[in-house]
Amino acid sequence: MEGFVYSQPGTLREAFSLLTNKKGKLVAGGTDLLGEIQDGIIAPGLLVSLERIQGLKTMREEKNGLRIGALVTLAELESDKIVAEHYPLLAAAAGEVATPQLRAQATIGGNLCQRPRCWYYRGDFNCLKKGGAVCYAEDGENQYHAILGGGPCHIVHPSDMAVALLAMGASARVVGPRGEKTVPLEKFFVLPQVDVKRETILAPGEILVEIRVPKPLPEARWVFRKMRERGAWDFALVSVAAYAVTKDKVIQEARIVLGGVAPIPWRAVRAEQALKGKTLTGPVMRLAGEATVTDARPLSQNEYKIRLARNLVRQVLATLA
Amino acid sequence: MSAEFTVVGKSLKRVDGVARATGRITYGVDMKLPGMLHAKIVRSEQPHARVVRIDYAPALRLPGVKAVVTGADDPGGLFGSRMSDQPMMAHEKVRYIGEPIAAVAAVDEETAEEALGLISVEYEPLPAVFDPCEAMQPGAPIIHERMHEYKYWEGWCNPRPGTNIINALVLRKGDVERGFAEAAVVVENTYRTHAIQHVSMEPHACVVQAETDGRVTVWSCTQAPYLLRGSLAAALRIPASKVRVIATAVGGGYGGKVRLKLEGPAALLSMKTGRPVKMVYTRTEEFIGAVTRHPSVIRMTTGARRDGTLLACRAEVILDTGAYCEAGEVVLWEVVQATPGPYVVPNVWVDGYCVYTNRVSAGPCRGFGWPQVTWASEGQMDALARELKMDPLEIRLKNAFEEGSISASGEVLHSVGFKECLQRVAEAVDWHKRERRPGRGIGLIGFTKMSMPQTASAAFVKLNEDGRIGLMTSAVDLGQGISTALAQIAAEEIGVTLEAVEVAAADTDTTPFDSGAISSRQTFHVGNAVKRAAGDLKQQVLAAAATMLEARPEDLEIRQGRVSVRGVPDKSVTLAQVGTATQIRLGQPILGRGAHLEEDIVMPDMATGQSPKPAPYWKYAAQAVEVEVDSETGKVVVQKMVSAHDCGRAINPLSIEGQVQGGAVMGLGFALMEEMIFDEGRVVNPNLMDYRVPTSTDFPDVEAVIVEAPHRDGPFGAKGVGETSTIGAAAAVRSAIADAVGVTINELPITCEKVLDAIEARTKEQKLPG
Repeated sequence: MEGFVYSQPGTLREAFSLLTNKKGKLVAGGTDLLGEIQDGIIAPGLLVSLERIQGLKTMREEKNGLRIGALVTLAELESDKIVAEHYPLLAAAAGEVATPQLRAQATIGGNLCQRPRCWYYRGDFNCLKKGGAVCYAEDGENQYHAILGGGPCHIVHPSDMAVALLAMGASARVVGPRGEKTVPLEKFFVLPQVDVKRETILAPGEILVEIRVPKPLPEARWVFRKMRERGAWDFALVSVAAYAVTKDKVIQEARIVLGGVAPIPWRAVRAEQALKGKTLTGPVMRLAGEATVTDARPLSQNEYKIRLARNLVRQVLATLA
Repeated sequence: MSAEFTVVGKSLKRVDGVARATGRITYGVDMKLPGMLHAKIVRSEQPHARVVRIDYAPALRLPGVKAVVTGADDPGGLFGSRMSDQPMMAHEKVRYIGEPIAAVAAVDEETAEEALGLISVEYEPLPAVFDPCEAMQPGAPIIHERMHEYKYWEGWCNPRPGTNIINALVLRKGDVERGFAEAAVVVENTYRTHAIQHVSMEPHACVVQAETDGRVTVWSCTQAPYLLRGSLAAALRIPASKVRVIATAVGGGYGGKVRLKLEGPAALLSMKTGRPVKMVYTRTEEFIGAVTRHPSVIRMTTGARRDGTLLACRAEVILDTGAYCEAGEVVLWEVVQATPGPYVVPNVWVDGYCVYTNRVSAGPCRGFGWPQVTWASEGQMDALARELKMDPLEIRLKNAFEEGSISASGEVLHSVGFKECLQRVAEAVDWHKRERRPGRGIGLIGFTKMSMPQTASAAFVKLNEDGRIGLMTSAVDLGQGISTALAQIAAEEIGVTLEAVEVAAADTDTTPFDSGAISSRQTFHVGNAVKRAAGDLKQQVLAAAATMLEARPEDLEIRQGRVSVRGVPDKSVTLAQVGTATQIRLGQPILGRGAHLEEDIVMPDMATGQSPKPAPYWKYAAQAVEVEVDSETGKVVVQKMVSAHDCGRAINPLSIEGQVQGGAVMGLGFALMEEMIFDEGRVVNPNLMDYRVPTSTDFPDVEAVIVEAPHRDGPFGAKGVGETSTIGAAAAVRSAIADAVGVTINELPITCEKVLDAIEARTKEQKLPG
């Protein structure tokens, strides 16, 4: 493991300068980043901590919704009263991440910006993502890789929070040396066919500072399910967050988002279309499940994920019905 | 039973319990010596290659680096268990990704780590083979060209030079063809098991000091100090007594810390620098550079009468031992003896092969091959029960070994608590009245394991001048509680309390020979040695006390640390008085000696595998698991587990329950989630994130049931239990899943992916016309 300088700027301006001029690497909770350094995937000479920058650790509810500072920990999200009452989907997803110890340290910003868990990326393989010429998963051990949106790299996005936030219609506030922007979270993530070396739109020097979650409509209902091999400290094989607004049992609006199936948190648009204007009957739920995986293209060892995603979406909808 | 004994059979607190729980014992990773260097290993990046050139000059120029060693510094002795096939460092060629090529010692770990990056290795790649079935085929790349030169123990090994088969053994009984011809039903299946890692909480660790007089002192968290001493001496080509192994506390072993590993390179570096050298494996190194459980492919055909009576079993057992044997030759030897399981089978034909491949070596791993053959044999019992529409418990009870049964090797079996294990487990899950619900099922299976022959134990027991007892053996307490069990045996035999016994740690300069914490053997073997040594001490104490009390030794008894004339309690001396008198005034210190070696072992005939007594003893067990399966997601949730074990006699029931519970969870991990995944010989998940060890959220409490069928040769009738606890879980889970959702999975581990695939395959089958 290479050594590094650790700096704690007090303002965003200082941070921008360290990031752009000195090629520093941003660190929040560090639960993912330090692992990457330890495994020799990256060797930044400078770590720029967000710890001392004002305002990043606060969470507050406003009229339109919830504003979550990037440095709010997952443990805080999991246990916060307002979140539990008005945004339980977030609390549910936060409670499914990693372990209590990790959740106490891991931040919401870091969770959205974490790098993929693909073992070729994490291991001694010079893969596409690390500047190499091949995606080793294509002909390799790809049982946990993408069935949707893959190619040329086949990672799955590891974040549980992203799945829940997307279903809630959240957006991300990004600040950079040249100003700030707020983008729908959906537009925050980038497919490998757009840029194989990163998973978000963040350009060097830009910082994700806040997540905004609109206040759910009173008639909205939601559910989060994470399917994994181990009861704790495991990433999703497939996770599903569903958010639905119904009126007289008829679905006005639905957002179905899946984790563990694609290089980005995957919005199942076809499933959403299949649900709109329908009531949640058995056939409708089955159809929505099928629609989720219509476009799926499995690799050699992950066809099971198609059945799993299809069935999980159906099960999740059944709990909403 | 407890009425017979005062110390044995009681759930007494561990003698090392407080020290362990408060972190005040010294593990291998805690060892520190003044002037100590830290070492790291350069490992092969190639699965099979000639090493053309190693350039380490740049590493030596790095400030703080004190020495680099390579295969050129290795005296070249090969070591092994029954088959010596392995060098400490690669010579000329490498056989797996992760094999040590060079090692570097530096003033601290960081410098040693940095130096690794400055050592370059040039390879000439050779064709590699990763699958044991392919490795057996003619024309496969040969991994050990000099197999014909390897030394091995007669009676254990049958190597086939010119191939990758390092051991080929058979078991033949009766006429299987006739058996199948008479059978009403014959089932044939192929079973596969995978590689897992032991994942001891403490990784491999040692400090080695090469002394100026040519001796080598090793502090290691080894499971077997004398085996380590023998292997290191063989590798260094020096007499065994020139090596001194001092056992540290061990933070988990499970078979992974039996063989020589990092002590070799550390010794070479210490010899080169004259300084103590410490080495600790990283978690990654545990996966790529230690040992795994043997992956296996087992084809098995079994025939039975309409009433379920077994008639014949034919099996081909293929064990993938990776690049080196690491006791794989012994694993095969053991399992060939009882491949069909603990059942009476009149006609048996087993062909067993231990095969090299270009993967990290497989070696001893709690259960030692028996989880693999049990996976196959119990699969066959389930398959027969299904075909015959018989109750799975009934078909097992019908064929189960009992006292006096004749085994496949021709042994008349003794101390067989198998049927009771099956019945007790069935009672615990209310087998006959179990509720039938879709998605919920119970699996109930049974199995056996031997303890290997040709091991030995010795014990010294001394009387101190304060009347307390010093116990000296080379047994290793891995956390299983052997120190307490041995102290209980000594205390019982002598007539003192457990608190009066001090247990010394193993040190090959002072504690006597022992084959180590392997094969669930310590309670039986070391226990016997301790019992005899304690008996010897007692006779000497009585003789000395007789002189002091002017009585005859045969009229004396020892109770609660006091020697008195039977029936005249006033006429007595304390053990302290005896100890002081003999040790200080008379110059006749009392030292009891004892040993245990199985004298009636007959090594099986190599042509038939027949032997009237191949093993010191056999352990028997039954396990039941209740699961809930979601057929839409493949998720398997274990709701209940019961594990019953015939341990001969429970020396310390509490320790046994702990062993049984820990082993059951290890077995469930093997069944459902743990798996080393390889891509062309490279482990892609060598970390505890991607390699899933069970957490506290995964499995329920395990109900431990103790069955006692005392063994005539065991100390107070005791047998071992350490390994059996882990063996059957996978087979029980499979049966439970089949009971719940009607699919049978014969390839481990049972991930949700396999459950989903099996359900899909069955659905397609049902849709086929006709």
